[in-house]
Amino acid sequence: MHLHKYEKIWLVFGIGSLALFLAVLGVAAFAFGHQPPSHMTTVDSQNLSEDPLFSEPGLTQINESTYRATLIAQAFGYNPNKIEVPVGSTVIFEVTSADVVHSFTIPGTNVNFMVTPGHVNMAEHTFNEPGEYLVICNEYCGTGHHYMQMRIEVISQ
Amino acid sequence: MRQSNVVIDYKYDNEPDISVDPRDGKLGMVHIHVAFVAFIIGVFGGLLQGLARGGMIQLPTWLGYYQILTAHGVLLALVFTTFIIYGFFFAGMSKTHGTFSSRLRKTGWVGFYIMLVGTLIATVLILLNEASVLYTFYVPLQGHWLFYAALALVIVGSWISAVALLTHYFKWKKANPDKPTPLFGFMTTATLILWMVAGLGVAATVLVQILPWALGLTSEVNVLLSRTLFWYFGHPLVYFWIMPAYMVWYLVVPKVIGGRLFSSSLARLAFVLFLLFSIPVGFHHQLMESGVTEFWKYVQTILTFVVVVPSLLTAFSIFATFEQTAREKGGKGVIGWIKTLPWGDVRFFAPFMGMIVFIPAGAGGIINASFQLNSVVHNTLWVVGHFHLTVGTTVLLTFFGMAYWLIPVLTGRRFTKHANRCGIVQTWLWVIGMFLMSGAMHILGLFGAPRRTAYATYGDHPQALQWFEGIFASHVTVAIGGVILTAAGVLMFYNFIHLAFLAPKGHTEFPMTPDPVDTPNTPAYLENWKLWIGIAVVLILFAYTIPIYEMIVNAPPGSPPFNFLIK
Amino acid sequence: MGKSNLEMKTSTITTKNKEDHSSLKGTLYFVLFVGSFILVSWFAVFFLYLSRI
Repeated sequence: MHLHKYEKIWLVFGIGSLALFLAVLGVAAFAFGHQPPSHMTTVDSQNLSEDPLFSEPGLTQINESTYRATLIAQAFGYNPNKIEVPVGSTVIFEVTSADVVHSFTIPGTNVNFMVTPGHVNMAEHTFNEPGEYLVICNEYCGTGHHYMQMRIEVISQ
Repeated sequence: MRQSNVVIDYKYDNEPDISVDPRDGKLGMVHIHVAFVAFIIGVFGGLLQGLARGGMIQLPTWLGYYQILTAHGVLLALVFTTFIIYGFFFAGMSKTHGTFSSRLRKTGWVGFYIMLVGTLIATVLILLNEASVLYTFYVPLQGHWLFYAALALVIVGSWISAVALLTHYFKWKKANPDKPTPLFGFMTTATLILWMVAGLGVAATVLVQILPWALGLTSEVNVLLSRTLFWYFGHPLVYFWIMPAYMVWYLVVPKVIGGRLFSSSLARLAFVLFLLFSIPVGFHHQLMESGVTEFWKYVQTILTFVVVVPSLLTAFSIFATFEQTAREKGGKGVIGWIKTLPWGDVRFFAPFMGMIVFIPAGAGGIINASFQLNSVVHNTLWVVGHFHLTVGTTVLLTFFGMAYWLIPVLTGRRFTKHANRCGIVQTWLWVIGMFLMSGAMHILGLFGAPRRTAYATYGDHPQALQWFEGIFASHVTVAIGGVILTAAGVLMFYNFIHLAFLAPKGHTEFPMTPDPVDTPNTPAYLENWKLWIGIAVVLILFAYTIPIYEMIVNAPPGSPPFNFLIK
Repeated sequence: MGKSNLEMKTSTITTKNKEDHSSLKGTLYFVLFVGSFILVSWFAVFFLYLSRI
């Protein structure tokens, strides 16, 4: 197979760029921990009230500036539908679904993950600016999908 | 330094223009009729969505946003594409490999009718609001069982037609053992093998998981497994669209511009790479999902990046063909030769604009597949903007560019000057409309605006209101682009009617480039299908066995049906 | 000497013409543009990701 000289230049450039992207992504993920949300814990989506983690969804403080938010996504809202944290807090979100597939998405941040029934998914985010953050479901979940939302109140101290 | 395959001999135009046997032409043409009827309904679905989402109209109570969304996706992404591709394949295989035997043609008709029945049932159920589950299914949302059965019919019908086409190809090979296979047959075979291997995933989830569950025979469904099987099919599906478009670029456009293809081996290599690497990559649609480890997601990210390479090859091959042809015709300068290309010929211009759009479309695709970066764009309007560039513009404009000559070839009419003029206008309208709509969608997506979502201001949250207030990045721009696209869609439908029923009878050329001069030297292993299917299966097993095994053995209790949520 | 000069000139012209005839310079610039576009847009989104961590 004959390759033109310029085509060789192009393939080296093109494949080199792809390799560079993969290297950057791999280092960010496997060395610095910026992984895509891929939590492996499973639950019984039809019996969340008996689940040790999700029987009482809500916010718990882990240490001075870290919180764990355990949330249930359900057509068409979240339980609880509002949480409050002081500015500068890091919140670990742990979310599952009581019915169909949803998402947990804070627009303008990297928190944007799928919530599949039977599975728990996680992400964490540090809120450095005060304000009322919008959380939406961006995965189609039925006729009321566009109403599905909650709020995160980040309070300045 | 002269290319071995640079020779351009204009005597090719004197080759007898073998036309398509009318009986095969009829089979090809019925596919195109179905495609354009689905197209025009789908276009109006898109218009209503754009206007409703932008808050400019309110849908009547009997018509749901997600119902229209389902219709738009199914009719354009599945029905239009599949039918027009099969129309192209039957016509092209008849021209390049000879008339079909009556038995194979009959098989083709059986496949067509099964696909048609499936399409009609699915469309009716969508219109009855019994199936607003979008074409990606969204288990455990549950539509009517007939909807799933109908989609299974579409897939099975397409397999039967594929068997007719593949048998025709292998019969030709057997009858001509010493001749290199025409590129058209080679590429059709690669595309159809890909389609059949990929279809196994969606067939498995529909037949084994969803149908028994929708019929009430099983009470629970493994959601993650169903999603994984769907996306095992869902990504090669986009290559099932793009490969026939590449066939037009490789085989038709060079002839239209009066040249010939640059290299046969490279074209074949590109198609083999698509066959090998476009299937074991479905996890890049599930990067934000739990239940699949980071490791396997990263493995499939790497494989996804490999499937970019054949597109890199294609970009060079096609542009080199343009440059060589233009220089042969006396084009000068580093870039000035571009003036000699036939800009006034829509058979070239429409696919060319599709190629240009593929630059941002491809760049966006690499970003989408980039592992954790996916969280910036996942399920936002960015993704919708992306695939309206890839399938909605690159593939569609190429198919439109093909329809201008294919329809008159099959109906024995002339491709008129009038149709050409309408085609040029159509192409510009489509590109402008897409620039506004898709451009705005990309930026809105980066701001977090969700996809597959009806009009919503989320309690007038400032962040959501901003999605309506941008100068360019606004749902209003999206709607304006949608209106322009609708005008372009109506014009395309008119072009179809004109060429299929109204244009004067006469002869239209089937533009098919003669195989490149390096064809006889094409390495034989490139056509060793057993080898390629074998490697493809090994790659699929490597990328999927362990994650799917874990999904099954570590499965949580399954999900019951949720059919009340969609009505 | 005159003759050889002329010969040289002719041969340069032919080579030049021939080069121009089969040159793929335009293609090279085109694909390099495509590659740069991919690099720039990818890093733009990558930095957006970093800024949102």
